[in-house]
Amino acid sequence: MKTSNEKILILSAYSIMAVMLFLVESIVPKPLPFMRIGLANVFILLILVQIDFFSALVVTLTKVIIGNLFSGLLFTPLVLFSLVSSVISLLVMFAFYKSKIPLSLIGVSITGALSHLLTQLVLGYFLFIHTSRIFALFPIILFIGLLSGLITGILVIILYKNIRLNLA
Amino acid sequence: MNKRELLSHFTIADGVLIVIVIVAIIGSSLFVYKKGIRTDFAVIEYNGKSENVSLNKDRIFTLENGIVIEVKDGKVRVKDSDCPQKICVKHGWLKYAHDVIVCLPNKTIIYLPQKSDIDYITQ
Repeated sequence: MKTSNEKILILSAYSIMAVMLFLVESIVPKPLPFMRIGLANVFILLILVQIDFFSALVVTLTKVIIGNLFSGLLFTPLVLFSLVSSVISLLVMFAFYKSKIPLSLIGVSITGALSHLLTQLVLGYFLFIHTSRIFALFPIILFIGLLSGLITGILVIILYKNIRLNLA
Repeated sequence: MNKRELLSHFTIADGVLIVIVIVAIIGSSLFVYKKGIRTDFAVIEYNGKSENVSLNKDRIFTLENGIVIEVKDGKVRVKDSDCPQKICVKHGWLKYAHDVIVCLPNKTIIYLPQKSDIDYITQ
Protein backbone atom coordinates (compact mmCIF):
# COMPACT_ATOMS: atom_id res chain seq x y z
CA MET A 1 0.00 0.00 0.00
CA LYS A 2 1.38 3.38 -0.93
CA THR A 3 1.93 5.98 1.74
CA SER A 4 -0.83 8.53 1.54
CA ASN A 5 -1.37 11.60 3.66
CA GLU A 6 -4.38 9.90 5.10
CA LYS A 7 -2.31 6.92 6.21
CA ILE A 8 0.26 9.15 7.86
CA LEU A 9 -2.52 10.93 9.73
CA ILE A 10 -4.06 7.66 10.88
CA LEU A 11 -0.68 6.28 11.96
CA SER A 12 0.14 9.38 13.98
CA ALA A 13 -3.31 9.46 15.59
CA TYR A 14 -3.07 5.79 16.57
CA SER A 15 0.50 6.26 17.83
CA ILE A 16 -0.56 9.16 20.02
CA MET A 17 -3.43 7.16 21.47
CA ALA A 18 -1.14 4.18 22.13
CA VAL A 19 1.41 6.45 23.85
CA MET A 20 -1.28 8.13 25.94
CA LEU A 21 -2.67 4.80 27.13
CA PHE A 22 0.86 3.56 27.85
CA LEU A 23 1.58 6.64 29.97
CA VAL A 24 -1.73 6.56 31.84
CA GLU A 25 -1.11 2.92 32.67
CA SER A 26 2.40 3.57 33.94
CA ILE A 27 1.05 6.24 36.32
CA VAL A 28 -1.46 3.86 37.94
CA PRO A 29 0.11 2.22 41.03
CA LYS A 30 0.33 -1.55 40.85
CA PRO A 31 1.74 -4.28 43.10
CA LEU A 32 3.91 -5.79 40.36
CA PRO A 33 5.38 -3.79 37.46
CA PHE A 34 3.97 -6.12 34.79
CA MET A 35 0.43 -6.04 36.22
CA ARG A 36 -0.99 -3.83 33.52
CA ILE A 37 -3.76 -4.27 31.03
CA GLY A 38 -1.66 -3.23 28.07
CA LEU A 39 -4.27 -0.90 26.64
CA ALA A 40 -1.76 0.44 24.10
CA ASN A 41 -2.02 -2.97 22.48
CA VAL A 42 -5.61 -2.12 21.50
CA PHE A 43 -4.40 0.34 18.88
CA ILE A 44 -1.49 -1.81 17.75
CA LEU A 45 -3.79 -4.78 17.09
CA LEU A 46 -6.40 -2.51 15.52
CA ILE A 47 -3.93 -1.08 13.03
CA LEU A 48 -2.55 -4.57 12.34
CA VAL A 49 -5.96 -5.75 11.14
CA GLN A 50 -7.01 -2.45 9.56
CA ILE A 51 -3.85 -1.59 7.61
CA ASP A 52 -0.80 -3.89 7.65
CA PHE A 53 2.09 -5.29 9.65
CA PHE A 54 4.55 -2.46 9.00
CA SER A 55 2.10 0.20 10.11
CA ALA A 56 1.59 -1.75 13.33
CA LEU A 57 5.38 -1.98 13.74
CA VAL A 58 5.64 1.80 13.36
CA VAL A 59 2.98 2.34 16.05
CA THR A 60 4.71 -0.20 18.32
CA LEU A 61 8.12 1.45 18.01
CA THR A 62 6.60 4.90 18.52
CA LYS A 63 4.85 3.64 21.65
CA VAL A 64 8.08 2.18 23.04
CA ILE A 65 10.29 5.18 22.25
CA ILE A 66 7.94 8.09 23.05
CA GLY A 67 6.21 6.29 25.91
CA ASN A 68 9.47 5.41 27.65
CA LEU A 69 10.85 8.88 26.92
CA PHE A 70 7.99 10.44 28.86
CA SER A 71 8.06 7.89 31.68
CA GLY A 72 11.81 8.46 32.02
CA LEU A 73 12.95 4.95 31.21
CA LEU A 74 14.23 5.46 27.67
CA PHE A 75 17.95 5.21 28.44
CA THR A 76 17.71 2.57 31.16
CA PRO A 77 18.11 -1.18 30.66
CA LEU A 78 14.38 -1.51 31.35
CA VAL A 79 13.57 -0.16 27.89
CA LEU A 80 14.94 -3.43 26.54
CA PHE A 81 12.05 -5.28 28.17
CA SER A 82 9.55 -2.94 26.61
CA LEU A 83 11.12 -3.00 23.14
CA VAL A 84 11.80 -6.71 22.75
CA SER A 85 8.54 -7.89 24.28
CA SER A 86 6.43 -5.40 22.31
CA VAL A 87 7.98 -6.44 19.00
CA ILE A 88 7.78 -10.17 19.77
CA SER A 89 4.18 -9.77 20.89
CA LEU A 90 3.40 -8.01 17.58
CA LEU A 91 5.08 -10.82 15.61
CA VAL A 92 3.09 -13.47 17.49
CA MET A 93 -0.19 -11.62 16.96
CA PHE A 94 0.63 -11.23 13.26
CA ALA A 95 1.40 -14.94 12.97
CA PHE A 96 -1.88 -15.96 14.63
CA TYR A 97 -3.83 -13.36 12.64
CA LYS A 98 -2.48 -14.73 9.35
CA SER A 99 -2.68 -18.40 10.38
CA LYS A 100 -5.49 -20.77 9.47
CA ILE A 101 -6.62 -21.01 13.12
CA PRO A 102 -10.01 -19.28 13.25
CA LEU A 103 -9.22 -17.03 16.21
CA SER A 104 -11.22 -13.85 16.65
CA LEU A 105 -9.56 -10.62 17.78
CA ILE A 106 -10.05 -11.76 21.39
CA GLY A 107 -7.92 -14.85 20.78
CA VAL A 108 -5.28 -12.91 18.85
CA SER A 109 -5.14 -10.36 21.66
CA ILE A 110 -4.70 -13.09 24.29
CA THR A 111 -1.76 -14.59 22.36
CA GLY A 112 -0.25 -11.11 22.15
CA ALA A 113 -0.64 -10.42 25.88
CA LEU A 114 0.76 -13.83 26.84
CA SER A 115 3.76 -13.58 24.51
CA HIS A 116 4.47 -10.06 25.79
CA LEU A 117 4.54 -11.17 29.43
CA LEU A 118 6.40 -14.43 28.80
CA THR A 119 9.09 -12.60 26.81
CA GLN A 120 9.56 -10.28 29.76
CA LEU A 121 9.83 -13.23 32.13
CA VAL A 122 12.46 -14.96 29.99
CA LEU A 123 14.36 -11.69 29.47
CA GLY A 124 14.27 -11.05 33.21
CA TYR A 125 15.73 -14.50 33.80
CA PHE A 126 18.57 -14.11 31.31
CA LEU A 127 19.43 -10.44 31.90
CA PHE A 128 18.83 -9.64 35.56
CA ILE A 129 17.65 -12.43 37.84
CA HIS A 130 19.67 -15.56 37.18
CA THR A 131 17.68 -17.83 39.44
CA SER A 132 14.95 -20.18 38.38
CA ARG A 133 12.88 -18.97 41.36
CA ILE A 134 11.62 -16.24 39.02
CA PHE A 135 9.50 -18.87 37.27
CA ALA A 136 7.32 -18.99 40.38
CA LEU A 137 5.72 -15.98 38.69
CA PHE A 138 4.65 -18.16 35.75
CA PRO A 139 1.04 -18.89 36.89
CA ILE A 140 0.48 -15.24 37.89
CA ILE A 141 1.79 -14.07 34.54
CA LEU A 142 -0.45 -16.46 32.62
CA PHE A 143 -3.45 -15.24 34.62
CA ILE A 144 -2.67 -11.57 34.02
CA GLY A 145 -2.05 -12.29 30.34
CA LEU A 146 -5.39 -14.05 29.97
CA LEU A 147 -7.29 -11.28 31.74
CA SER A 148 -5.61 -8.39 29.95
CA GLY A 149 -5.87 -10.19 26.60
CA LEU A 150 -9.63 -10.60 27.11
CA ILE A 151 -10.12 -6.94 28.05
CA THR A 152 -8.05 -5.54 25.18
CA GLY A 153 -9.60 -8.05 22.76
CA ILE A 154 -13.12 -6.91 23.59
CA LEU A 155 -12.07 -3.26 23.23
CA VAL A 156 -10.45 -3.99 19.85
CA ILE A 157 -13.62 -5.66 18.59
CA ILE A 158 -15.74 -2.69 19.66
CA LEU A 159 -13.40 -0.29 17.86
CA TYR A 160 -13.02 -2.58 14.83
CA LYS A 161 -16.79 -2.65 14.34
CA ASN A 162 -17.16 1.11 14.65
CA ILE A 163 -14.11 2.60 12.94
CA ARG A 164 -14.09 2.27 9.15
CA LEU A 165 -10.97 3.51 7.47
CA ASN A 166 -11.16 4.76 3.89
CA LEU A 167 -7.65 4.44 2.60
CA ALA A 168 -7.06 5.37 -1.00
CA MET B 1 -18.18 -16.19 6.98
CA ASN B 2 -15.67 -13.60 5.82
CA LYS B 3 -12.57 -12.52 7.69
CA ARG B 4 -14.22 -9.38 9.06
CA GLU B 5 -17.08 -11.28 10.64
CA LEU B 6 -14.75 -13.98 11.91
CA LEU B 7 -12.53 -11.45 13.64
CA SER B 8 -15.31 -9.70 15.50
CA HIS B 9 -17.10 -12.69 17.00
CA PHE B 10 -15.98 -15.01 19.77
CA THR B 11 -15.11 -18.35 18.12
CA ILE B 12 -14.65 -21.93 19.28
CA ALA B 13 -10.90 -21.53 18.75
CA ASP B 14 -10.94 -18.65 21.24
CA GLY B 15 -12.66 -20.87 23.76
CA VAL B 16 -10.10 -23.61 23.18
CA LEU B 17 -7.26 -21.12 23.63
CA ILE B 18 -8.75 -19.82 26.88
CA VAL B 19 -9.24 -23.37 28.20
CA ILE B 20 -5.63 -24.23 27.31
CA VAL B 21 -4.38 -21.18 29.18
CA ILE B 22 -6.54 -21.95 32.24
CA VAL B 23 -5.25 -25.53 32.28
CA ALA B 24 -1.71 -24.19 32.02
CA ILE B 25 -2.38 -21.80 34.94
CA ILE B 26 -3.70 -24.62 37.13
CA GLY B 27 -0.97 -27.05 36.10
CA SER B 28 1.87 -24.62 36.64
CA SER B 29 0.39 -23.48 39.98
CA LEU B 30 0.36 -27.06 41.20
CA PHE B 31 3.95 -27.41 40.05
CA VAL B 32 5.19 -24.11 41.46
CA TYR B 33 3.29 -23.98 44.75
CA LYS B 34 3.58 -27.64 45.65
CA LYS B 35 4.43 -28.77 49.17
CA GLY B 36 7.98 -28.78 50.37
CA ILE B 37 10.45 -31.47 49.36
CA ARG B 38 10.88 -34.44 51.67
CA THR B 39 14.39 -35.46 52.65
CA ASP B 40 15.70 -38.72 54.03
CA PHE B 41 18.18 -37.44 56.60
CA ALA B 42 18.44 -34.68 59.18
CA VAL B 43 21.53 -32.79 60.30
CA ILE B 44 22.08 -32.19 64.01
CA GLU B 45 24.71 -29.65 65.00
CA TYR B 46 25.77 -29.44 68.64
CA ASN B 47 28.95 -28.96 70.67
CA GLY B 48 30.63 -27.70 67.51
CA LYS B 49 30.13 -30.93 65.58
CA SER B 50 27.70 -31.97 62.91
CA GLU B 51 25.96 -35.32 62.69
CA ASN B 52 23.74 -36.80 59.98
CA VAL B 53 20.74 -38.79 61.19
CA SER B 54 18.83 -41.07 58.85
CA LEU B 55 15.05 -40.62 58.92
CA ASN B 56 14.28 -44.04 57.45
CA LYS B 57 14.41 -45.85 60.80
CA ASP B 58 12.00 -44.94 63.62
CA ARG B 59 13.81 -44.51 66.95
CA ILE B 60 14.32 -42.33 70.03
CA PHE B 61 17.79 -41.39 71.20
CA THR B 62 19.50 -38.92 73.53
CA LEU B 63 22.30 -36.55 72.61
CA GLU B 64 25.28 -35.94 74.91
CA ASN B 65 23.73 -32.63 76.06
CA GLY B 66 20.52 -34.28 77.23
CA ILE B 67 18.22 -33.52 74.27
CA VAL B 68 15.91 -36.42 73.45
CA ILE B 69 15.28 -36.75 69.71
CA GLU B 70 12.53 -38.82 68.14
CA VAL B 71 12.51 -40.01 64.52
CA LYS B 72 9.22 -41.33 63.15
CA ASP B 73 7.72 -41.74 59.64
CA GLY B 74 10.47 -39.69 57.99
CA LYS B 75 9.92 -36.83 60.44
CA VAL B 76 12.08 -35.69 63.33
CA ARG B 77 11.34 -33.72 66.51
CA VAL B 78 12.81 -32.87 69.88
CA LYS B 79 10.90 -35.07 72.34
CA ASP B 80 12.37 -33.65 75.50
CA SER B 81 15.01 -31.19 76.59
CA ASP B 82 16.25 -29.72 79.86
CA CYS B 83 16.15 -26.13 78.63
CA PRO B 84 13.81 -23.73 80.54
CA GLN B 85 11.36 -22.61 77.86
CA LYS B 86 11.26 -25.83 75.80
CA ILE B 87 10.86 -23.90 72.55
CA CYS B 88 12.57 -26.71 70.68
CA VAL B 89 10.04 -29.22 72.03
CA LYS B 90 7.05 -27.02 71.24
CA HIS B 91 8.28 -26.52 67.64
CA GLY B 92 7.05 -29.98 66.75
CA TRP B 93 7.94 -32.16 63.78
CA LEU B 94 10.38 -31.34 60.99
CA LYS B 95 9.03 -32.71 57.74
CA TYR B 96 10.16 -30.72 54.69
CA ALA B 97 13.54 -29.49 53.50
CA HIS B 98 14.62 -26.17 55.09
CA ASP B 99 12.65 -26.85 58.30
CA VAL B 100 14.81 -25.97 61.33
CA ILE B 101 14.66 -26.42 65.10
CA VAL B 102 17.07 -24.35 67.17
CA CYS B 103 17.67 -24.91 70.89
CA LEU B 104 19.74 -21.97 72.06
CA PRO B 105 20.36 -23.03 75.71
CA ASN B 106 21.77 -26.34 74.55
CA LYS B 107 23.50 -24.82 71.45
CA THR B 108 21.81 -27.32 69.17
CA ILE B 109 20.46 -26.93 65.63
CA ILE B 110 18.44 -29.61 63.85
CA TYR B 111 17.51 -29.14 60.19
CA LEU B 112 16.53 -30.99 57.06
CA PRO B 113 19.01 -30.10 54.31
CA GLN B 114 18.47 -29.61 50.61
CA LYS B 115 20.99 -28.56 47.99
CA SER B 116 19.68 -25.22 46.81
CA ASP B 117 20.61 -21.58 46.41
CA ILE B 118 18.58 -20.85 49.54
CA ASP B 119 20.28 -21.41 52.91
CA TYR B 120 17.34 -21.24 55.30
CA ILE B 121 13.71 -20.19 55.28
CA THR B 122 12.70 -18.68 58.61
CA GLN B 123 9.26 -19.27 60.02
